[in-house]
Amino acid sequence: MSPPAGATAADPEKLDVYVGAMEGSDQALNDALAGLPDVLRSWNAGPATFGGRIDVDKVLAVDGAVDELSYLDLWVGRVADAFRDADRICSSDGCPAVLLASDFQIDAAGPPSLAQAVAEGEYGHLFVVERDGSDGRTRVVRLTVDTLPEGMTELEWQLVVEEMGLTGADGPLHTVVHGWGSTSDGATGAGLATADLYDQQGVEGATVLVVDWDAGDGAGGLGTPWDFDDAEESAQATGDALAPLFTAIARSNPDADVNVTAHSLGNHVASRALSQMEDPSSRFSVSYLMVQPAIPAGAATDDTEHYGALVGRRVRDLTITVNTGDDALFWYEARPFTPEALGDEAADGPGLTALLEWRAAAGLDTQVVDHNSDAGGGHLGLSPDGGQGLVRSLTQEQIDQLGGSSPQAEVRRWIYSTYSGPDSQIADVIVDHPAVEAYFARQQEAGVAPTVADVERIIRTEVFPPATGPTPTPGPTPSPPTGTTSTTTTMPPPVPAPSPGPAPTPVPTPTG
Amino acid sequence: MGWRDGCAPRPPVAESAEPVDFDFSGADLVGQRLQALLDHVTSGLSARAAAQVHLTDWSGGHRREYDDHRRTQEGILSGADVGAEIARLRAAWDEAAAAQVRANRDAADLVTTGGNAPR
Repeated sequence: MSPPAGATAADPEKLDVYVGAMEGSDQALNDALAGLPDVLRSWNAGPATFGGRIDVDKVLAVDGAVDELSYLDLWVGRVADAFRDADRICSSDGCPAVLLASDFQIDAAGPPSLAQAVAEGEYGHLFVVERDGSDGRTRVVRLTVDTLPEGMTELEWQLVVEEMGLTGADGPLHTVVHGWGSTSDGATGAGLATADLYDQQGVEGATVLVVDWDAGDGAGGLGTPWDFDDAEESAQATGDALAPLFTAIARSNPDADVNVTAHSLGNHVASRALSQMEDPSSRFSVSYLMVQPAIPAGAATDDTEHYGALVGRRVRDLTITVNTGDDALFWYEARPFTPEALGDEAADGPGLTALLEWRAAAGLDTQVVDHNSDAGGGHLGLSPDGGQGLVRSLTQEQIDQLGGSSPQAEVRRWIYSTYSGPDSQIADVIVDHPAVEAYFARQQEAGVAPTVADVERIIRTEVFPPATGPTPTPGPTPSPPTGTTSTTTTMPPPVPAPSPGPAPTPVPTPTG
Repeated sequence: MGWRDGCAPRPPVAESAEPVDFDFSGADLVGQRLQALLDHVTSGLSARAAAQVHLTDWSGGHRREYDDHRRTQEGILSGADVGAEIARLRAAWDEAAAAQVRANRDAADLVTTGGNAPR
């Protein structure tokens, strides 16, 4: 029997059975399409003497229809929820299996089309487009997870990130994760500054995803350790909840170019998500920049369930900034029974040493940048601007390495190996100096490798011009790093020397 | 079913012959991926048809929206005709395989006759 006009009827339990019946085949069909357009484009680019070209547009049309049908099948579950949520009066015997509701009440399910649902903001509570890229600049999307997303299946994550263009299909995906107490504006600003570096280096199709989690923003200053504890728990829970997001990206585009930058407590978020995600193809990997990580120094090797990605192939390249004079991490460790933080451990401390050994054994590239920068009270920050030359340079290095190498990284390593010393900030002053930053920016824009000779000249003429007093002169000749682990080690204070040594030779990049 | 069931086997390249300009390994990868896609499209359509039994109590405007959207998108899947793409790849494979067999034979003739075989 048909319901009256404007009304609808269904047994929500049966609708749920339908959703369960379709989930497996929908996931399998989506998996069959993962990376397929790229495979076909690569095939079509080969010789065509005997024909056999494949119509990629046809497959893209299939991909779109599969996404729509997969969402439609999940939408039936939303309809079931709307039926259950609708107010109704039933007899004392309870409600019948088949429930009646008005169309208006079931409209809470949203539209049945994925494209329409995203366009109408059904996921606006999760994703906010901060810069849409229509002007040719790198796109920036903010993922708001102050309230953890619950009830989203992996397939729903996959459909939404595909529709939002967050799978790295059109260019690199760079995820930035803020630390404690950061505001949404601050996190977004860091994302925009990161996006600007992609534009500076002429990388097309990139997207920056800002993870905006509940980090106790507005909860107080560093003197409120209980709030910090809350934020730390929030970081861990957020990381656990975001594992399906990375699973979705890996399922959709296992060969995506993904960079991650996380600051301080944000490293709980990124590390735990990367460690607990699933990667059916075992091909997904990221380049990860940990800025002053506020996670236990031994987490990667002591708690592999939650931090094991840091010592596995999923984190293909890992760069960690550490500073034993980090004021913020001093407070982190001041809490009772708190282990030492990774970000202020000495470069030869046990946690870092174990992490480096495990990564070296796996043939993975690791870089520890031991600095004494004053920026952020020695704690640096997430944003690659605002006088944070080191974070800027390391971010530019990540972007460079999408192309396979980073000449700037070699120059920066030369600066640190030549000018660093215990308690010396000379290398940090050089890297943070506007003239050096401007030089690096010019070279990046021009696509020309910066050189040690140019930087030497800038140091002599602009960073430490003769009129300012004694010119610090380079210390010992830098020796090229060897093996798979490049560690910027602490050097003796600079001593007079006739000239700096040659630029270090590039670090061999291990395969696998 | 394999994507090139019934196709010519991939011929070896004779020692004295040139390989034909066809990436057999690449074609095999593409064929397998397309066949997997076709198989999953077919089984997905069947699964959705079979699952309609759970929706028999559902009626009203939202049910009509479901039916309309399903019809439109399943029409795109059927219309894309992935099978035709596979058929085109199979034809290319067979032509390339035949060309390689000819190239092997010509090279063998050249070795045997020193290039003086009657034409």
